[in-house]
Amino acid sequence: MDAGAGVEIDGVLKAYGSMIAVDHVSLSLPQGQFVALVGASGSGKTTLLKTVNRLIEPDAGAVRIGGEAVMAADPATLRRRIGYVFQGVGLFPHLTVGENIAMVPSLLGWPKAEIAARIAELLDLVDLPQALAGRRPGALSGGQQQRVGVARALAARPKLMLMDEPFGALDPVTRDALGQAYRKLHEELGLTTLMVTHDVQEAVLLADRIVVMKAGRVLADDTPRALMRGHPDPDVEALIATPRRQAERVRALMEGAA
Amino acid sequence: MSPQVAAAFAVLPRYLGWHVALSASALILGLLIGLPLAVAAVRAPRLRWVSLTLASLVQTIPSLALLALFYPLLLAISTALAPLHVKLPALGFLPSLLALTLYSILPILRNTVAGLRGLDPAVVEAADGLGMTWSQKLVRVEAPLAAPVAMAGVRTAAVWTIGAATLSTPVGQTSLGDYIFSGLQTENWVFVLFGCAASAVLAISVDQLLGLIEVGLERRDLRRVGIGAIALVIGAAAALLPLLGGGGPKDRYVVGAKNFSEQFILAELISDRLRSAGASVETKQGLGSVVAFRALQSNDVDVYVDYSGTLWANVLHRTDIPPRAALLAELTRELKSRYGVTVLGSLGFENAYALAMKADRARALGVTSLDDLSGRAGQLNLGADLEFLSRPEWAGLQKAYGLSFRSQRSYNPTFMYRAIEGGEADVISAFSSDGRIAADHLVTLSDPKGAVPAYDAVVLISPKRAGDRRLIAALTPLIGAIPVERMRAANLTVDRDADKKTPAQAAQALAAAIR
Repeated sequence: MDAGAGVEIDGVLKAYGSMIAVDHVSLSLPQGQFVALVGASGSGKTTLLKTVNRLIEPDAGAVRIGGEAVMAADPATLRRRIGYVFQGVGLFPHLTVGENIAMVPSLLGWPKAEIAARIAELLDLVDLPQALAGRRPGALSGGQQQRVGVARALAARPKLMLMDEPFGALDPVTRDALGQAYRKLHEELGLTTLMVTHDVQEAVLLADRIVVMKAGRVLADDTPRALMRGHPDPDVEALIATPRRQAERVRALMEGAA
Repeated sequence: MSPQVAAAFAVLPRYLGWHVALSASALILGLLIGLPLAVAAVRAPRLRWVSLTLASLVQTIPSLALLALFYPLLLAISTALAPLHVKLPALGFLPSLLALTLYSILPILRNTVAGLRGLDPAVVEAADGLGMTWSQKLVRVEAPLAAPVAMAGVRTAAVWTIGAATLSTPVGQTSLGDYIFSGLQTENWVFVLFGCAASAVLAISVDQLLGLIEVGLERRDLRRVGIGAIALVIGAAAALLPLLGGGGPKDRYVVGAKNFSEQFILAELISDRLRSAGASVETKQGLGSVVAFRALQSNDVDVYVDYSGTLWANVLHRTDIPPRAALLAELTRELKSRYGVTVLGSLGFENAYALAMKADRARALGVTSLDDLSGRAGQLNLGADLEFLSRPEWAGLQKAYGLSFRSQRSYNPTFMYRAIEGGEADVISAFSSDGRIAADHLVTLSDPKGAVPAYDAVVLISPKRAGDRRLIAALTPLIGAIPVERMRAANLTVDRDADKKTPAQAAQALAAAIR
């Protein structure tokens, strides 16, 4: 299975009792695309994301990566080939930063020297000082921790990244910096990224494409530019209105100042 | 150093060795059961509820009772397995081990479950999201993170197990409890304190070393974990070393003793004679009355001294009371035919249950016999030993004389004599060979209706040793050799407050006197 290829989500259904979290959603992510899944809490965006690496198994429908059904793959093997970053970060507190970053390579049985080199390379990649490798995650700031989280997800050179509100717990400045830094990595490493966020502004600034979900269904699926111009669905329109108003206000301020 | 303390130190290696062997095995078994059970229970709420409830239930059983309950249980299992030629020892190490293991499970299980359930969900999600298998997640993430909490449970289990192991003495397992139980019976407070102190020191040392491991696990400091673990292993090995010497269990005789001074002295006397004959000997002290006979019958004990009337009423369940000689003759026949137990003969004295009063009090009330007592019992308080009130002899006495006391209380024999001295009891269930009867100015009341059978002290031999010439040759000289005065004198040297002797010393003096 080549995880570098695109993702096909085909008629995925997931229900919890009578509550339908994801209602027959189909999406296609071409390789190299950065797609943001946005929507309010409970819209089903996180559930949909987790069906890709089988943290959640759909009741119906299929997910294919590079043409191969994920349900046919061994879950552990599958996940080691997909980068996963989430809001809780989940660094292992009993391991050093270096050991955290090296987790997937070590599960894959890489040679020690190769792992050590990879740790150094990844710390550079996410702009962290090498000295942090020997420290415990508890000693790091929130932003530094999520940089380690990103480095850990990238360690075994996955081609597909799943990100679930990755920067949601960070202050606005750090959040913006990390978002920009990640977008750069996405370009440089040729990644395919599916990112869940409830922050439309973040989605607009980072993604190539925005998928808006509500009550388990896709309401809109378009480029940020197209969505900013307006959308017939009132919910989508309401969602887009805020960043548009903010952007216009900022532009007015900038022009006024000039 | 006082001779009592010296005597205590002399047996320390053996007592401590067995205590460590027992509690360490129970703890290891508890870990082998508790840890996997906890891992399974975390994933299955129903199993969690059932296992925690059962473990808590076990904890509510008093530890002494739990140990005692394994005796009949193992006996029943052993009987059930008899056709398969599987024989489980119902006394000694096995019942103690099983009871202590059950006892150690709860803290291990509860803390490990708490530790695993208390993990940060984000960390668990990360482990899954990175592609760890079930076992990789357990080994790399869950176990190390839950270890400090689980370790706190292991410490609790260790302290409980070491403490409760002292209670294995009554089911025939040597432990530091031997000091406490024999000391309690013979009022040897040096022994009682020594036993308590030894088990406390052991428990504290183990707790501190486990604490070092716990801190090491918490701080990810492998040096501490290593030092703690190595010290535990070396300590256990050193304690177990004395057990490796001596003959194997095959040619070793097990001498039983019930839980009072006379029994301790006689067990020592028998052991000494067997040792002089070149045999290797082990004693199981502090056995309950019926437990002792069942142990002999099932060959867990090879030889011990019991009393004809006790066996007549409690083992043969007879209520008729034939004359002394006839009783002994029929008892000898019946024990042989029913249980294969040999009555080697009577030692020459009787240790009868007798009601006793202070001499001056009896005189003042004009009481010399149980007949005289029957009219006065309503104003008097009865102090009995722990068994007496539930024994058939007491039922027989009540029936024959219509005895109904104002109150009746059970004491450990030692405290029973204290109670009559202090006036809390007016009448006690004394033993006629007890040296304290004369020493404490007590009189025994006569039994004109013959309601209580004779209690000749008899040497019993297990079915397995019935044809053992060395054993029979070594013990036959004791038959008829101990007059009641000698036994009383020997008992008193152990029971009195001043210039106390240990049962071993009293046995040597008795052996010298009857030679």
